[in-house]
Amino acid sequence: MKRLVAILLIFSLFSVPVLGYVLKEYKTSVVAERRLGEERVTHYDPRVQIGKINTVAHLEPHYTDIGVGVGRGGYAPVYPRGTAKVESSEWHGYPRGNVVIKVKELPYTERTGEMFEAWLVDLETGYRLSVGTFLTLLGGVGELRYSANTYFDAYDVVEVTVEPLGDLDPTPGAVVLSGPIAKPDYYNPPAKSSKMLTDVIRDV
Amino acid sequence: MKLIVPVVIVLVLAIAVAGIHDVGWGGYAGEAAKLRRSEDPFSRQNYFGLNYSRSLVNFGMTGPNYKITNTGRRGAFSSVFNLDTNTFYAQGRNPGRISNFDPNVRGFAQLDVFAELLPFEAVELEVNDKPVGPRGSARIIGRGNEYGAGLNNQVTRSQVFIQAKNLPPPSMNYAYEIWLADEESGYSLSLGIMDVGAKFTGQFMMEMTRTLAGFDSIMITKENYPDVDPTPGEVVLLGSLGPTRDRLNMLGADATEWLR
Repeated sequence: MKRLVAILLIFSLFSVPVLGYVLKEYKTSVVAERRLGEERVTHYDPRVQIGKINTVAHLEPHYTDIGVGVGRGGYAPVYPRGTAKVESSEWHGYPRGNVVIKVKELPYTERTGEMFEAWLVDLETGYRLSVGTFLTLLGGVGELRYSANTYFDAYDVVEVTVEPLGDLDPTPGAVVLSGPIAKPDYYNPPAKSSKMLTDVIRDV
Repeated sequence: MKLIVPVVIVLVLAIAVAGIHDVGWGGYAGEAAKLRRSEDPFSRQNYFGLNYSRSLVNFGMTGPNYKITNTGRRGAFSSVFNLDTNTFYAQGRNPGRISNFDPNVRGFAQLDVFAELLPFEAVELEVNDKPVGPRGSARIIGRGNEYGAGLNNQVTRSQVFIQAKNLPPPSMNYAYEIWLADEESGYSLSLGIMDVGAKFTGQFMMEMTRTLAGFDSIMITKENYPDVDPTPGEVVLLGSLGPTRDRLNMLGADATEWLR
């Protein structure tokens, strides 16, 4: 019994500062935040974000060359393919873009004496941005990484072309692989005309 | 129990005797080892002889151990050891020594070009009777070419370094972009966006796995930000890259002076 009384006394002793902290009527140095009423209104919308692209473009071949001796009892067919991971983001106003291209079953460059070049193509203007060249290993396996202070919103297609080794001509060669870049779905709702201040004149 | 004390005394005396007589525990120390070494035919003095001193040239350079004397230091056919410059240390800039060292023979292909970026439009602002306008410098370094072997990587890696000054900071909707232009094909390769910081200076560095040898000029343009059109806009600074150093100038550096 004594123990119970002691516990209750201690509990009530500690509850006094708690009540002082919680209840508004008591002025204490430690004040709990009041999150009621007007203070709970927030305009945060998680859908509104900076323009970001983070997508994988699947590269499909532009030629069919399954190989010699392919078929039942022979070699496996060759199907050139690849992926292009396109990332484009912004940090405090500084844009940053990355492209990682991985391909397989392209011709072995050591034997063909050629190299591959990757491009980002804007179909509207026809502009092609070269993101670099790469070689392939046995099995046609190749990888290319590109990183730059730029953004890739304007580009629609990733293309891989074949160029001669040591090519100084910046024009592209024949396209071997290409894939579309999925457009990001930016949440950019139009401003409500009722809320727009059209009669405010500002001196710039 | 009674024998312990005498046994301990005997042991202590034995240790003392052993120490005095310098017997040691065998191996490398002690008189016995010394005697052994003096009589061993494979000890240093017996093996090499009395007045042997190690030569400056290492043993490996004298040739193989099977005494073929047409290689190494003792060989007459060695091109390395029979030159005028064959000394044990580099002669540096001693003009008395013939040297066929050519620093251009690097073992790998290198592109190292510098371009001065000058304003594309006429500069109107003058301070103390000197035109003040945007200007900058660009350097392009590339390593590797198609004849890849050893140090020469077959995949060319290029780096671009740009510094610019007196560039007015672009407003919120504009940005400066760097391009490499090829006059023959009319193609301009975008390298990225350059930020302008304190004191109107801008720095840019970019690296990519592509040869940049085919481009004739480098330019900085003012673009909309964000821009739907990826083609170049208004040119602010332009620099000519000029001919690269990997072409041998057969006529000499002053060819333009006397060539008609």
